[in-house]
Amino acid sequence: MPKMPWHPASGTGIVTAENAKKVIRLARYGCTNRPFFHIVVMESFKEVRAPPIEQVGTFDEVVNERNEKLVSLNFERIQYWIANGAQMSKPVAELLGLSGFFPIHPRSYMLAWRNRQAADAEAAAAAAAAATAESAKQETEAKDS
Amino acid sequence: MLRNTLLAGSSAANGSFGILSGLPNTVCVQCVRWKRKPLWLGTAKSKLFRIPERPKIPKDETIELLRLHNNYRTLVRSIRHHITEAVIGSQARVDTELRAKQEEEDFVRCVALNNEWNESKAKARDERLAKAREVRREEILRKIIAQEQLAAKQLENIEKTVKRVKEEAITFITEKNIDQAIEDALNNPVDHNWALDLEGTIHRGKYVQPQANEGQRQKRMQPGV
Repeated sequence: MPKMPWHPASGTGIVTAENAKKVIRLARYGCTNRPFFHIVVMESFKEVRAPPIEQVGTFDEVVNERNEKLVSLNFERIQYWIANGAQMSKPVAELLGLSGFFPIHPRSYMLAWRNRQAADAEAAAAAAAAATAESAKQETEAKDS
Repeated sequence: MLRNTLLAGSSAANGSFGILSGLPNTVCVQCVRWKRKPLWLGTAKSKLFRIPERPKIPKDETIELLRLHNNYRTLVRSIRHHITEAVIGSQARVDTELRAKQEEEDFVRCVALNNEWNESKAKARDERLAKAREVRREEILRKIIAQEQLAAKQLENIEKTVKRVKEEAITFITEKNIDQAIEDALNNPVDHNWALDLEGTIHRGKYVQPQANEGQRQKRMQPGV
């Protein structure tokens, strides 16, 4: 049984500090070894598990059987909060970029090209290993003959 | 964050008492801070000159990232402006002049309606009150007539009574004829000492007159005899 919050996770609607900076960010609501995030609007000084003003989406970091990470976003409320001057955390900005609401975040591009580079390097290494193995085989065959 | 481990003294288990302790069991209390060194111990000797390796980002990648970030920030700022304007534009605004005009019109309409209602109500009220007044007048008249009739009847009754009494007054005993009345009474004694049977027959003179044994009765009634 996960540790349940004492407040409604969908948001209390209570703005305790009217002039404080509001931020749209992730709040971890999963269990041990099973992360699950709510996308919430909160005052920036609040703790992660403090009662949020409003929940505007969810993010399931763990891939499902079809290799998907599920995200839900309430764009109307996100627009409302952005118009009211709410800032955004980096992970949320990345999710919004991937969902097409915002431009793609530079971090997403960076991650993509680094993954590509790693894949290329791995492929090159594999090809080199295969070539060396082939040459060694040919050498042994020549020696035998 | 402190976990206390209580280690029971082994003196009691060994069957011998501690030298200094007056108690059979001494308790050794040790504080274990999550199996880690205390905070005040500082960096370990082996780790003292370890320098974490800085991430090496190629020059072209740095330039590219900077460009992307600049673009991203510009775009996001413009999108933010757009969203803000859209949200503000979609909010319902109050036209104060139109609102005041509408309120004025509404007030005039309300006043007219109120006057109309007042007139109709006043008309109905007048009618109702006139009817009530008529009913009340009739009621009062009826009561007055009834009262007069009652008074006349009472007067008649009184006159009748007076007439009867005047007729009877001839037989009254007055100061003038009292002696005559006494005399008549003494001369004509009436004997009420009679009996009545079931048929209603009066039996007179069957029993002894009271005055015949009056002396005996008085004698019997005397106290102390």
